[in-house]
Amino acid sequence: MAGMEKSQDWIKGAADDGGLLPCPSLGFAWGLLFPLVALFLWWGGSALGLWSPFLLPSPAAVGRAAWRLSASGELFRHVGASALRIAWGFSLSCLTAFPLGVLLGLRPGLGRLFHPTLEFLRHVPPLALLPMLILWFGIGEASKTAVIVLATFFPVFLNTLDGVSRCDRKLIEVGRSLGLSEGERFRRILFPASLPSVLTGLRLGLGYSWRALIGAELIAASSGLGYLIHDAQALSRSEVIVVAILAMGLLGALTDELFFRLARRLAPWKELHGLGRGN
Amino acid sequence: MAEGIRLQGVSKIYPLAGGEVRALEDLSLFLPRGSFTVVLGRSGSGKTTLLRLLAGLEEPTKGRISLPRNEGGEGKKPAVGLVFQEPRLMPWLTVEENVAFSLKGRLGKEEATARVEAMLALLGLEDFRSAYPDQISGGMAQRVALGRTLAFDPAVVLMDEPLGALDYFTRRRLQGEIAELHRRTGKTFLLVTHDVEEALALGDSIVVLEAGRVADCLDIPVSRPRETGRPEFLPLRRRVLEAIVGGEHPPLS
Repeated sequence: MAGMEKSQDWIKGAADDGGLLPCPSLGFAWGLLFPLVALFLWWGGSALGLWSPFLLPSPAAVGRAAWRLSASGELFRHVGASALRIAWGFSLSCLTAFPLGVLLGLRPGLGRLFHPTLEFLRHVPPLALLPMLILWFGIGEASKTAVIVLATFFPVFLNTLDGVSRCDRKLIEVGRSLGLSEGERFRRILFPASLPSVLTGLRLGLGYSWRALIGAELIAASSGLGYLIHDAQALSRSEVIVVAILAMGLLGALTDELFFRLARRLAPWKELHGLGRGN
Repeated sequence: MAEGIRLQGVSKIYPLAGGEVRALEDLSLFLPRGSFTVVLGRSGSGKTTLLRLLAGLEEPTKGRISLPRNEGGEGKKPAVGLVFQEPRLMPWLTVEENVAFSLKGRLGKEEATARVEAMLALLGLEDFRSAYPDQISGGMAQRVALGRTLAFDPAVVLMDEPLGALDYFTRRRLQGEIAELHRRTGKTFLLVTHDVEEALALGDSIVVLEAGRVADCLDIPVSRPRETGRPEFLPLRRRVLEAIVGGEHPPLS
């Protein structure tokens, strides 16, 4: 079709592998290569007794532990507790970081007011604040929610700020020339223009939230995947630790995939590459 | 009815590093309703400033501008539509959605759909309705921008060098399409350019701006479509060039 100057490969999700992969049509299956090789080496090393099962239990032992924890519902209880904390913390973070990012993006002058405070907080790891947060909020849910908020605030805030402040002012001018009000210009031009950047911030924030949560649960919790690891460590149950680690990795990858699909649906005009994603 | 665009003693002064830049000085013009006027001038002559004032994107420092009213009494609809130098399409919207952009919230769904369909047909964009701006050519993108402006039916269509970035052949084709659009819509068109041939090909009248003032104003008494290589354009071209560079235009090398 004349005039169609660019292919729609990125819409379909075709990846450019630079000719490295012999059969690119296999797509997602190539991503399973390394996990399968690692599983094979793990299984082989365990079967040959190359290391103590105390240091790294066999895949079969981990599978049995996963089955037992799933059948008893214990694994799902811990996953549910962690997921609920993330849902709370991440939502609170978005509710504060997004409006602030928009406000400072639209009113750069206000940045002078907030910049030193935000820069200070940005460089303090949330887990370093945990002892103080426990003192202030107690050992319950509030301190863990606060850690997630602190961990996810800056990716969401900074990407929103970047998206809003880098919005093409010429597009805003189109809105003015068409007689759009300030609210309409925000809703119909500024917001969609900054959406890809905002979505990237949300994806990053979601990833950070898992890391920070597990750290918090390792220190102060009676449920959650971090607690499961901590408890298994005390009981020298390394197979349970591996189950919890695998559950975290799978949950993180699953939420990221869901988020990526949502982002591509919301912003189909933009290549949401980066973050290690080729398509 | 003599309603048109009227400028009376309009000046625009920009403050700049302790001093000021006089973009327009004491400009008075009348552009009749339904006319096609081309504003011609070198870079920095005040052409774009004039358009921005007419589009309401800036306020004059001095003087008064009156524009024709819109028909139909559509509340928020601006009287003028501006086509920018670059298409400035919303990259997250398809061709169809970009054309409909100016109509959202102003017209009912059925009326808006009919208007968009008419625009897509008028501009030959029906086959590309689902394409995103980065999937179409520059000429087509500029046509979409024109459609977005015409869709809300402004009384005046302003164009700021809309063909400047296009290749010769696309430019020639779009010049013909713009002339045809003017004929079919009967709206007041004002096009800004620095291309003398484009001015001669399109304008009912040409206003030559130089250093923010009107250097000359001439009518082109030739019907469109025009072949500007014909002998009757020679004196017009000479007059335009004299107004711009005082007859001392540099030889081609």
